[in-house]
Amino acid sequence: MPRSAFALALVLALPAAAQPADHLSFALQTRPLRGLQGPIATLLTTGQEGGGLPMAALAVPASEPDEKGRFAVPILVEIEGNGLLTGRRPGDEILRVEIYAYAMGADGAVNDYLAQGMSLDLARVGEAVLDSGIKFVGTVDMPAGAGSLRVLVVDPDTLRYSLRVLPLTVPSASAGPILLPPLFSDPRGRWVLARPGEAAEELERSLAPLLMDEGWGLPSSLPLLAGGRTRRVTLLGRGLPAEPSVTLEIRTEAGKQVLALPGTVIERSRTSGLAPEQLACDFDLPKLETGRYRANILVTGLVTGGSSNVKTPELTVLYLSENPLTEEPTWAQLRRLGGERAPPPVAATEAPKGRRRNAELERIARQGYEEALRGFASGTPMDQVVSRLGDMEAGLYRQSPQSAEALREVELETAQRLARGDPEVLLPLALLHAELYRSLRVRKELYLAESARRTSADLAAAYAERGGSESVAAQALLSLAADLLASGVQSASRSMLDRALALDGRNEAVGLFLAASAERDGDYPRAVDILERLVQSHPGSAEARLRLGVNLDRVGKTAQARETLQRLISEPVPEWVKTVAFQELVRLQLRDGRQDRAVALLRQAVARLPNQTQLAVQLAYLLERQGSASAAREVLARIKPRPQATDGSPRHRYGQWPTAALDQVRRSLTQQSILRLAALARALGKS
Amino acid sequence: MLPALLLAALLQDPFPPLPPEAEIRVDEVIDVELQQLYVTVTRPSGSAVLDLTAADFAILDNGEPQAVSTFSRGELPLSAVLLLDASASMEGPRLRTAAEGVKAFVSRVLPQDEVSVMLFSDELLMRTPFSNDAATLLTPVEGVAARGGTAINDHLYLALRDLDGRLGRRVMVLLSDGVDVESTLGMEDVRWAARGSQALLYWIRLQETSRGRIERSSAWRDRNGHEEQLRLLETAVTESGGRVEVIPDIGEVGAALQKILRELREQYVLGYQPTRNHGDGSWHKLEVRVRGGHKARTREGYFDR
Repeated sequence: MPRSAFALALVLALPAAAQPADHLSFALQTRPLRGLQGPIATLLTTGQEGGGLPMAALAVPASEPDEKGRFAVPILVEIEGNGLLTGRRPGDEILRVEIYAYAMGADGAVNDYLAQGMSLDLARVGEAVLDSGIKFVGTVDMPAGAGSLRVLVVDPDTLRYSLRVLPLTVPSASAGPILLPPLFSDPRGRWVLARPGEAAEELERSLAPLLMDEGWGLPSSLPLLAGGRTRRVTLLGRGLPAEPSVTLEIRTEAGKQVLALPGTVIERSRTSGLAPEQLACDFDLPKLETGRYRANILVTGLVTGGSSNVKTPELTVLYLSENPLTEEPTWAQLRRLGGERAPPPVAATEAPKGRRRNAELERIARQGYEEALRGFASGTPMDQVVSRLGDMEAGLYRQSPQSAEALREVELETAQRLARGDPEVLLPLALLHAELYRSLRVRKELYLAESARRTSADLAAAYAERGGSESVAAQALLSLAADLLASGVQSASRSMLDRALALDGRNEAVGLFLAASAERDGDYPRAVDILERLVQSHPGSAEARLRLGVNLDRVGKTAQARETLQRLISEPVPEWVKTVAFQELVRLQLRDGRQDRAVALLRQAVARLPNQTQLAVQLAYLLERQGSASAAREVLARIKPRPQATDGSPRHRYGQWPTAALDQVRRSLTQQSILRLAALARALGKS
Repeated sequence: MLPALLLAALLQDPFPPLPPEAEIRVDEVIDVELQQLYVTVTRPSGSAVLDLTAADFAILDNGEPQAVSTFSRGELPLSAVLLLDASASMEGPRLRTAAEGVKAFVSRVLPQDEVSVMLFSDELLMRTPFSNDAATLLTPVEGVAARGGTAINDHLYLALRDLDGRLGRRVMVLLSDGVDVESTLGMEDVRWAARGSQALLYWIRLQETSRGRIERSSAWRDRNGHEEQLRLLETAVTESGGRVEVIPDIGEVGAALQKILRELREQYVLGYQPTRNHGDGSWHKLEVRVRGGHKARTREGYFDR
């Protein structure tokens, strides 16, 4: 059945500041595609792989046919954001992408196709796209047998494209033993996920073979493997041996085997009688030269009548020799390592021609940058310097989108040169670029904003590497990471926070941000781990203790949770902390069936914290449950509206990023920066 | 519990002639509390059926047929709480647009009706007294700026309690995208409170920013927890006899409110005296059937208290 449908994009990581925390997804403008035209038709017909858009795809057929004997084949397409956005015109507000998937039979006939168009609002999701990319999921139908999928992604505004051809065998329901493509998990919540606008349940059903982690996660179409790490792989298959052995086989792209690594089967399960079996396997990865490889999993073992030897189809993987210590998605790792260069941008207006023009642009950039820095060093307010720099960068970018990377290089070179004598000058420069990032975001200069953000992080890291205060560098990274979190840019922000924690493990604000981030991911053990260390180094941090108390219960350490919360209600801590501590203690009492104790605790709480409405609501409700309706009414009658702005309810405050500590960090950074302006002035004088 | 009718009879005449040395004795408590059902009847096409009589209805209380003792349509006074989500997502013109919708609603209520407007985020931002005067209801809204998070459950509970003891049909209309993040009460608690009240719950669900699927956990609940809360909210609304009105755009709030008002005007009000009530707090399942193959919607039950 041909599919030409509206697409709906759901954003997994939304700006907390721009969007309230409870807005977890939103629709983007969509449009139907009518079919193939001109060059796109030619591309698909030839089946010639290639194109400049960084894209990877994965398809896993369903195990059961529909009533017509056809199998749904969910397809996952990953488009790297940086490459997709390169060359967009400054101020572009909408990003259009077209995705075509053609299911071909072995005879070359088209069995089914999918044609999906989507428009993304760059102001809302641009940074998240830039940070990772788009993960699109859709389905086509195929009969059992050998065939292939031709997946084409097109940017209709620039006509950049990418075509991938995936060999695909759809096993019949009775075939066996068989293994489907291996599923390597991907850090969740870091992609902009786009999917057809079908009913959620229907979509979930059709995508089932691709869903991992109880429906939470999607696999990676270009898995990242790293030496020193344990990698979880899920295998789907039928007719597998009773006691299977698993081996990860890795070959170079030329076909030479470089690794045959035995793994451990962690779990074996089957959701229903007809569904394929699932084997969850772990592989402890050794060091291997960084590069692209082909990988498959071999499953061996005894079956009735002999031994079985079955392999998954091959998949392209990226192998990093060292553990990168971050959870960045593959494409972000690729970009960071420079292993996958973004395609050259498309000229917006007059394309620069030749080296002479680039050299001229660089000269203008260097001159403009140094002039801005002189103003900064001599006391021109930061916002004016940022405005001037922003104007210059936007002007150059308009002349040539290629100048973005050149600008960044010029700025980094200049900063490194100025820091030769005194690395302290790097700090005010890191802060200047962080401010430039904020300003460019507001101006919707997305690409330049990302460039400024990267420059700021690089300068902060360079500052620490060259002998600057690690604690101050950590603060600079935290400040930037907090901005990114507020914009929904999760992977880069977490990398920065990890980096900041590595620089200064005792930084309270960094710890709080990381813990809050783990909580939002539902990774409560990690939250507890971070918070336990934080409370050890900052026993006076009421917020850290509160979060620890809340999360200890979530990981089953209820007695410790109760003890932690109990202490908070008897100590002089901020009112919001005390309120949440009371609420959580009440919840624990209720869970234990001790309603009387819960009511007593709430009466105590309401008496001590009479302005906390939610305590009163909770008390009234429990009184009503106990049959004391009139007492409940009395409590409720005391609740008064709060029309004027407040700090928000304690539970709201708990759900926000811990900005109280951040404000302090930023104030301190501003002061530290001012103190170093004289050094910057001296360095500029010498240059 | 003193039977309501007995009490009413005693109070009917302020100076009843009492026999000397008379002693009032109650040998048996007869529960004659009237259960009122607000019933919306529609054709398969969705249009309202407005020409039915009491004889066209059959009421089943825990499966047992009940005699219809009172019957009317539409004219019973309304006591309504309009509960508007004024969290940060409603900032700027969106809250003003919602207020315009409320204005249109208020302009159409009858003199015997009363409305209270409540604005909430993660806190109670504003609450008007019950009134049908547009200025009383709308002027305070103008002074409130949308802000903060969303605590739907807590404020639904407050709204339900505000409706306690109000006369006539009690109606609560929630305008929100429905994702509770910061409430101290769970939706199951609110559902308990809603089951105990006779209020009709309507939910005008803003869907421009949400497809009804939760994609991420918050600091307080994981994704499954959020989905469960949404599901329970839908259940509470449906079992109250109300319904969910999904609107794709905030600009449609006024139309949605008017549609609800029209529906309330077109409702049948059936009263019956349950034959088997024991005041034991048990849940009684209700069903209303209508002749002619029409669809009847009313609350799904009540607590026998």
